[in-house]
Amino acid sequence: MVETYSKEVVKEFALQRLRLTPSTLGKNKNDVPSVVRAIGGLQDGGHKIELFNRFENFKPEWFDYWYENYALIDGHVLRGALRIVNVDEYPYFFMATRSVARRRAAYQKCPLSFK
Amino acid sequence: MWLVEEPHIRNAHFPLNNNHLLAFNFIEKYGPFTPSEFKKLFSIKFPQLKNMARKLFYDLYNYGKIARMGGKKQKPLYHAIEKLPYKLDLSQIGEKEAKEWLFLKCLSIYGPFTIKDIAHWVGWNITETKEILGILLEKKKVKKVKIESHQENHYVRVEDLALLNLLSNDLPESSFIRILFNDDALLLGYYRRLRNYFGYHWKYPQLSEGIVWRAAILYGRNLIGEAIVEMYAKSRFFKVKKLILRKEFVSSEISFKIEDEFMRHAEFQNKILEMADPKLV
Repeated sequence: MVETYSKEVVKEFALQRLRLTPSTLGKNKNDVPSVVRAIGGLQDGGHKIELFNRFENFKPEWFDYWYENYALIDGHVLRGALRIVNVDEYPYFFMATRSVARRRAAYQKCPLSFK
Repeated sequence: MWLVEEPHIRNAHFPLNNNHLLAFNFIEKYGPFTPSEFKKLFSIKFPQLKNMARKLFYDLYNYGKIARMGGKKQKPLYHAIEKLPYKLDLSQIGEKEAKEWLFLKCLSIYGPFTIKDIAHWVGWNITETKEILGILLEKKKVKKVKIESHQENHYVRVEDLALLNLLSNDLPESSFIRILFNDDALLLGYYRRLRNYFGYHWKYPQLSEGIVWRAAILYGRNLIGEAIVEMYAKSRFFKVKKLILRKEFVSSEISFKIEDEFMRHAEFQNKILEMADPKLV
């Protein structure tokens, strides 16, 4: 049997997972990586505003701390856009989007090793 | 020790060659570099490769040999991926495995999504998205579900059914305001369906419009309008222009919440709020 859900339920699910509802907001510096992980990374450029909306009292230096320690890194993943992701997830984002990158000009089959 | 198989060097389908190896070893030994720094320093050591230095550099990035790691003076720095303080080895992860992971990641964030939604979010084409779906359905990691008044099939992670069922039985009240940036994950994921789901057709600003931030105003589970925000570095003001609100959501309580939230953003940017009166639609 196929379950049927209302739009309101689907929207609430997404808003909670996207950490936009009051009960899901981050509280301190330590929550930054988990918020970034939960929402599938941040788009480079407006990333601090994106985080501001997901914390009770966000401080820009909280992001800088994790970025400067390479716990968050940026790469051209998801539609080829520059996105900031958790470092341990970077290989998956990178490898999963090689087909997207290959469709771009001057990109050829990617050997993963020189060996 | 790095080994390069000669036949691959001469095969156009395997573009990594000895020159890439020289570039990689140089970055690994002396990096991190900005692209300009690399070109300058690499060309001093290998003048015969000066004209291709930049291409070698970006090839290594595209092939996962080097990654962006922080920046210097607003320029990105790149280093050998092994230099990250985590043991990353991209060659240990297959493309198929990674695609399954990303498919599930997308569903974990957004819940029920169609094939088109997933393809749009990642940038995959429909054919490859369907292929991954087939594998995940077979592994019983995803399940088909229906959304009321929608014909298209939606898919959800099996492990997320419990939360969906919970919400179906007990949907919380929502009355918070969020002022979303253009590239917010909600707007990216739901871009094609914002009007249908959230009640307002917010449009991503095009370059030709010269708009830095077209804020989408989220009130609980509804998008209730938009505004153009200007916050130039040299200006003291955080200007909210062309504020548009859906008339069914206009009340003194909601207006106060919107102003309060814009005020929070202005303070975050260290600026003074200037706000236009809303136009009702």
